[in-house]
Amino acid sequence: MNLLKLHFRYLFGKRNIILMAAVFMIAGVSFLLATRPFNSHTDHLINGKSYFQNYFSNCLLLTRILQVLLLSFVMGMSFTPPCDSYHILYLSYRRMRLPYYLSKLFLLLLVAIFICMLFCFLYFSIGFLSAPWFIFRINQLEAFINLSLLSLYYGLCSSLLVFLIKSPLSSVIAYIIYMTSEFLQSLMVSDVNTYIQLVFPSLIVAPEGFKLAYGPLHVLVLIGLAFLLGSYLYSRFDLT
Amino acid sequence: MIQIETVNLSKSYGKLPVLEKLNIKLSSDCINFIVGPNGSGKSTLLKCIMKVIKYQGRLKGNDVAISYMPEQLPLPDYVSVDSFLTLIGKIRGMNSDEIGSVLRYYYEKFRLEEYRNTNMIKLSKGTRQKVMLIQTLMTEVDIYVFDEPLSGLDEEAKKVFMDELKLLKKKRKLIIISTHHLKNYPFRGKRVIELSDYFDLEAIENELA
Repeated sequence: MNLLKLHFRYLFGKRNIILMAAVFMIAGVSFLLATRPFNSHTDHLINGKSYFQNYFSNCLLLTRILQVLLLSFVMGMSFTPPCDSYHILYLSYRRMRLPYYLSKLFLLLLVAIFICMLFCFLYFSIGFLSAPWFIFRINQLEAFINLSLLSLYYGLCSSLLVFLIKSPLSSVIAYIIYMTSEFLQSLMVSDVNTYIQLVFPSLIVAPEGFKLAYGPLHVLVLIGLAFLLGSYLYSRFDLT
Repeated sequence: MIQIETVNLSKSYGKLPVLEKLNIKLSSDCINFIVGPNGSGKSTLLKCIMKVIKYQGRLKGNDVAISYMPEQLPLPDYVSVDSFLTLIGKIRGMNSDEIGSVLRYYYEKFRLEEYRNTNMIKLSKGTRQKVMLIQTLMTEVDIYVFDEPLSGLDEEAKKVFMDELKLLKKKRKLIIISTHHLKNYPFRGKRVIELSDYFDLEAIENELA
C-alpha cells in the first residue's frame, strides 16, 4: 500500500491531475454539444433517432482519440527516466524490481480503468440528462468496454516502448500505431488487416455495433502478453 | 567488518566502455571516497553496487539493504516534507513511532522544523538536498552511499552532515561517497578510490565512428 502511495505521489502530481481534468472538461463539453442542446424540443422529437445515432458515433470517435492518447501518454510518461528515477528509493533498499514494477503497473491500470469509466460515465450521464431521445443500449456500453480494453493495451505498449527507447516521444508511437490500425481498418484492406488486427487491434464497425476483430478475449490475452513482456524487460534491463 | 568487493567489474553502454575490469575493495574500517573526473564511471559504479544496472564481473557484499542518496532525484512537488519522509520510512519497514523520533532528531539537526509541512515545490535547492540527506540517514542499514552529498548545502548543514558521517563511522557502517571535491571532507584515515584511468568518451566515440 505504501509503495502504491509512493507511485501515486510521484506520478500524479497537481499538474497531471489538472491536465487530465482539462481533457475530461473538453470531452464533457464536446459530448454536451453533440446532444444539440440549442435545437428545439420539436426538432429533437422529429429527428431523435438520427440524433441518437450521431451522438453515439461522434462521442465514440472523440473517445477513441482522447482515451487512447491520454492513456498512452500517462502510462508511457510514467516510465521515462525522469519519472521513473525514484525507483532508487525503493530498489537500493529492497532490491526486488518485480514488486516495484508490478505495483507501479497496478496503480497505472487502476488509473486507466478510472479514466475509461469516466469517459463512459460522461457519455451516458450527459445523454440521459440533456437529450430527450437518449436510451440505454447495451451495444453502446459494449463499444465503450471494447475501446477501454484497446486503450489499456496501447497504454501498456506505450510504457514498453518508452522503457526501451528511453524517450518520452516514444509514447506517441503506440498512439500512431493505433491510429494506423484504425486507418487501415477503415480502408477495408481485408488481407493485410487480418494480420494487423492480430497484434494491433482496433474497433471494427459491424452491423450490431463496434466490435473487436477477434473479440475482447483476444485483447485481454494481448494485455497479458504485454504485461509479461514488461515484467521481463523491467527485471532484465538497466534502469536509469 | 562490512565489505564490498569488485572482481573484474566491467560495464559498457553500447560499445562505450565505462568501467573495465575494476578490482576494488570498500570496507567499513574507514570512509570510502570514489573520485575521478566526469565520465570516469563514478555514478556507474554506484549504480552497479545498487544493482540497478547490469554488469560483467562480480560484486561481492552488496546483497544487503543500502541507503542511497543520489546526486539528483526529483522530489514529488505537491507532497510535504513530513509526508514524504514518513512514506519513505514506512516503505523501509519502520514503524510510526520510530519514524516520528528519527524525523524529530533530523529536523532539529538540519533546522527543518519550519519546513516539515511545506510542499517540496516551495523548497530551495539546499533544503531539498537536506530532505534527500534525511531520507538516506533515517534508515538504519549497514551500507550508506552518497553521491555528491554536499552539493547545495550551507556551511551549517555541511557540518551537521560531517558529524553524522563520524557517527556512522563510529558505528562501523560502510560509507561510500562519490565526489569531485575530496578536500571538503577533512577526515583522517580515508580510502580514496580514484577512477583516474577514465575513458574520454568523446575520443572513443570518434574512434568508433
